[in-house]
Amino acid sequence: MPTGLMPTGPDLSLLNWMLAALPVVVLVVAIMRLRWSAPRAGGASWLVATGLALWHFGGSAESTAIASAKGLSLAIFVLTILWASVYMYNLVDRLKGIEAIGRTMARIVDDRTGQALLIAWGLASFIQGITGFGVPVAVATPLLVMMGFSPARAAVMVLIGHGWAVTFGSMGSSYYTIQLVSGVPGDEIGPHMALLFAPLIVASGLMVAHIHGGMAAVRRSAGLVAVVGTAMAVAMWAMAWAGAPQIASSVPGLIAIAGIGFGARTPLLRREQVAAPVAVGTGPLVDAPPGTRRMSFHLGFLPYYLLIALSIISQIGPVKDAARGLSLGLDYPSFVTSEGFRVAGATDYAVLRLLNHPAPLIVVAVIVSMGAFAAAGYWKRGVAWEAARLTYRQSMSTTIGVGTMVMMALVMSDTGLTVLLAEGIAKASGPVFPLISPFIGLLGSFMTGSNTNSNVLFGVLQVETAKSLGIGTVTIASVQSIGASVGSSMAPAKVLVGAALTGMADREHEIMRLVVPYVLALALLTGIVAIVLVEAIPGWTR
Amino acid sequence: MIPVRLRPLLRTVTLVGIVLCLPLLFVSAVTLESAGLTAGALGFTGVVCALAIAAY
Repeated sequence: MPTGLMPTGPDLSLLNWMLAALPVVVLVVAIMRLRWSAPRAGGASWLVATGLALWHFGGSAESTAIASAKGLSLAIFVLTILWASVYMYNLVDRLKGIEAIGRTMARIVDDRTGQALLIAWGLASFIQGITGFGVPVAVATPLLVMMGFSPARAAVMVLIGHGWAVTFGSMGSSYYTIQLVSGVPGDEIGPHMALLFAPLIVASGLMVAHIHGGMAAVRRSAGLVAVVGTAMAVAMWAMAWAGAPQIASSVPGLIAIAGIGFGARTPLLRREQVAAPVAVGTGPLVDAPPGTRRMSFHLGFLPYYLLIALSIISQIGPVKDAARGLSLGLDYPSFVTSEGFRVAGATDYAVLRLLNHPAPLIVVAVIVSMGAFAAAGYWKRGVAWEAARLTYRQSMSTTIGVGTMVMMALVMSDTGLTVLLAEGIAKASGPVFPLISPFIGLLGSFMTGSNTNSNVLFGVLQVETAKSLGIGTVTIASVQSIGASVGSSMAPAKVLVGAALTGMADREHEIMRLVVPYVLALALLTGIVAIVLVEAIPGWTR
Repeated sequence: MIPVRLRPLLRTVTLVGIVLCLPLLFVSAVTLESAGLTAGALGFTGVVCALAIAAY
């Protein structure tokens, strides 16, 4: 928990509040107005935050160094998940395993609305659950285009369809971040957040149908979306409750795939009367040349089967107990700034438990799968190195961006700037704060392209504001991450990936124009649910 | 303005720099508690951030 204990800290004055907001303002202006990349904007905002901490808010070189080191400890926790999951995806993709998965998905359902739901709501969400970082858009969007959907709508369906899966996606990296920065125990915030996600899961399914075929498609698929969406929401809650948040998006994603595949053949989906889908290009729907071996779905999916199994095994009592001893974490001392802001010491800060953390589990899944691919005759020489080089190129910018931004966020929170901002917002917003809260999360992920970064930037701010207003911190921490989760769907980085993959590189604004209203509607729905719960059941929204 | 051909190198240097920041900051501020080394580590981190601005 990076915030102070009984913080006194800097006085709340207009000048102090504006100065405290300056690092965030620099970040927003750099990304949104100057169109700087995340590493550039993160580096600039760390310099501003550190300058303010040292020369205006009573920080010392020691306190600022400790805060920055804590930020990097937190970044390592998240980035190891990123590197491992991106590597696994790249390896499977290079061996044509992703193609095998996609080809099977496309053949499960022949109804157009059913296909849109299967790929954009089910497959994209499952991929978000296990990897994330733009990969769902990269895989699912071209698949929809190959199936004959219009490029812009294909991109928007995928962006909206998997938005609910981001927080618990990437093996739970954003979820772990909000849990760490807010200091709320996982067994409290996980199930709580999963319940708040329930209406969004159903709403995003209906939105995918709406993007594809307007209200007619919504009416045709409402029964299927309601039944499958409920099952997904129950599965998300169960995974979070069982202490397996790292698979709380991938398991509902699998349920969506199975549920849509089965339900689309029942009266739950009123079928469209259209011609069979038309395959274009040379993608997965085109038959393989004679003599060419294609990987089976189950072999392509093996690393993900293993990962799910290992994630579940890692939560079993004796394994979980053994994991406590095998851990890597740093201890940080307490300190007080000259403005009187107290920061508690931290033992095993952002600890990496070797049998529980997703990254080692991914490594084991990859090693076992490599053996299986080789035994089945699909291994290619040099592919492991090729996947590593690609992962390095893909993850380098994100690594520097996350590192600098998390350092900036920790310098702000450990010098009292975040608490100061929270106090100001609390005074200004009052009882409507739960309605505003998801939009703060949305702003963070829109700015940084990342649910995780948004949680780092605004997680403590949201929790401190909630405390000031006497609103449940678990609910507000959850709402922050949910707003960031759906908000990442309109992040320029993701939209640009969608545009590039659908041949719309110079027409991103068309995708943006379509996606923004749906994202804002999801954030508003989150805010309405939060404010209703806070007002109606204050005891539950602890 | 950094020449385009130098940017990949500068990006790699930035990545290596940010990897080094954690041990430098931790050892100087927490393990050794040395004011001079801590100021140096913080300065190094500042240089890495400046490199990130220049390289991206």
